Amino acid sequence: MDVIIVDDERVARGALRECCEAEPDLEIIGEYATAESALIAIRRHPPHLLFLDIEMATMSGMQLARELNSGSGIMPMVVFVTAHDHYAREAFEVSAVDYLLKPFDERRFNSMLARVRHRIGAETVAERQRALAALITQLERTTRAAAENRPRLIANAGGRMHLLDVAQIEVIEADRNYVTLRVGKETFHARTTLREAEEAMTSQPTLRISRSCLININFVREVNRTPRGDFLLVLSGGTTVSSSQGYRDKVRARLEQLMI
Amino acid sequence: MNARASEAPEIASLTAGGGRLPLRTLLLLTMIFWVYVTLSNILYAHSMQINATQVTHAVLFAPWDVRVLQHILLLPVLFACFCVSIRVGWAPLRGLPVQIALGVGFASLSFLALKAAEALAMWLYPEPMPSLDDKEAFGALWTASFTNFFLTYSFGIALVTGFGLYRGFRDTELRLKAVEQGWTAARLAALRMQLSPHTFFNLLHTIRGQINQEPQIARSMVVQLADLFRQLLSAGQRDFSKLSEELKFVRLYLELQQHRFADRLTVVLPDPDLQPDLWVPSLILQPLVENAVTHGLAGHDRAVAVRIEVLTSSETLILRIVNTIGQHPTASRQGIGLYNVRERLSVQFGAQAALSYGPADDGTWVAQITMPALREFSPQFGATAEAFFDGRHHSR
Repeated sequence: MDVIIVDDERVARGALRECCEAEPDLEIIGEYATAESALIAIRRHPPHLLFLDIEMATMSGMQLARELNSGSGIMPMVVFVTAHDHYAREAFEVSAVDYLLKPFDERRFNSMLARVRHRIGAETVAERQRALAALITQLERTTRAAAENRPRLIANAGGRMHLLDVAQIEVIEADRNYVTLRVGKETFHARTTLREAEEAMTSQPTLRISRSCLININFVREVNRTPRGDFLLVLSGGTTVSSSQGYRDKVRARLEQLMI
Repeated sequence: MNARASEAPEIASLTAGGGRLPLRTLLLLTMIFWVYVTLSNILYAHSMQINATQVTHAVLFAPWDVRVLQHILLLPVLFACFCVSIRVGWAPLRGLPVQIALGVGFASLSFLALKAAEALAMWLYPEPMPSLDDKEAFGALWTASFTNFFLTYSFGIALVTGFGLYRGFRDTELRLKAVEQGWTAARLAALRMQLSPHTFFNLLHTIRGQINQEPQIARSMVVQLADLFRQLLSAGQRDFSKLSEELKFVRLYLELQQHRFADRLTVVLPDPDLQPDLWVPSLILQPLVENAVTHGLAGHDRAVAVRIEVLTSSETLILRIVNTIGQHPTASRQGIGLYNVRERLSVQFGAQAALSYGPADDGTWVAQITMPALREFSPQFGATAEAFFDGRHHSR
């Protein structure tokens, strides 16, 4: 298998070379410190396997992969090598085969290589499906990890403590020194302030509709208006909330933006 | 850090607003007070006039419309006095003389205002009005009016000051609450990151030693250490983690420690993947496990076993960290780690969680967390179905 290594760090290229040299069937046909020089070489002589650092000075590894993806029909197996674990989703979007986190050891390099070999050897339909399934599992794992990293609020309902994922919460209303949270048909109470809850909700598309009420736009099911011009919003769980006069214009602007 | 930074403006605005009434509120308060005073003065004069008719038919008191005019003329003066009064405050040396001067000034003007009102009324209604003008009576009438309005003014100033104080008190309470909540958030964040620097340096030293002796182990330790830091970072950014993730983190930590004390340290850990779907405050186990390792190994050179147990019921989760100890266990175990765990449990769960620790009968040391079994809320199947039908009903 012909291999090209692209990384702007000499020592990092060395570590990869060491790992590759331990495998008799891997042959390194080039090592490059920039994505630009690598691109020229790859177009001249496409390798089977491409190790690609993501964060490089001028052109990123991700851009290089996109470049290869879009034109030419040259598509080696791309394995991204990076210290950041948040590129996973993007990497699979440019159809990378795998994702190697820095630092890695022989064990991790070998399991990555096993997946690559599996992919190359996948000639029958069943094998190709299995390879695809493995990829999907990996993608799901990163999605799940993102969900687990979302902030959670501790809240009471019926004398029991629950943990609420901020993505579940439809409405937050301030009520003296606690807040009321609505999830579907359930109502929870949490000992926090509206401002703190709003901070925890930053990953969600929220909208403040009055001084004391915050909603998650994902859950808006119906929009009506009162004769006075205030908005009446019906949410998935059936809760109806109304905007106050002071927030009416902001609510209108946001809703119009959503319609477009 | 962020939480505290965004806290600041809110607190600042409360401080700025505290104690001093906004002009609009002051004006409203003054007007309500003055309407009441006007009515009461007119009614009082009216009743006195009725009483007086038993003796004489002469008009002794100014008619009601003149009185209304008098009070209307006095209202801006009163409002100006209140404004100055609030601005000046009640410092004994600087404030008090001004306050008294304001009261005296306002009360002195009251009789003049009545005269002015009479003149205005005469000008408005040219027909002759019963005149109260009497050169001798002027002094007496002025004094009577002065005492009456001085008292009224005092009541008014008491009302305005009292209202200002009440608002100040309420603002102080709100500010305290905001500070307290900001402090809680900051404290939680500070308590989370608790991997001791010693552990980190010791691990680096172990790796350094292995680079020549067993390069393969050195390489895998570097990777494990990187994983540990990755998990530490992501867990440090959230308040709660899955129990399975927490156990995986602890397992990684213990694996690294085993590289250091391979011949002495044995570890028994429940399988993270077989745990119920419960959530715990993130990194809550780590300080206790670190304690178990360092204190378990201290003071002797025999082997140490660290065991972690997870016990669950529908309501309660018990996490137990057990380690064997030497003959003479170190007396004081109240380290910063234990303190942090206790603090975090109390902030998140109040009295519903507890941390206990102490020697057990079988020559081990046990640290135990008891806390509510925290599950993520998921709508029951029945509830979702109902919502679905409800939704269709509404949209029709």
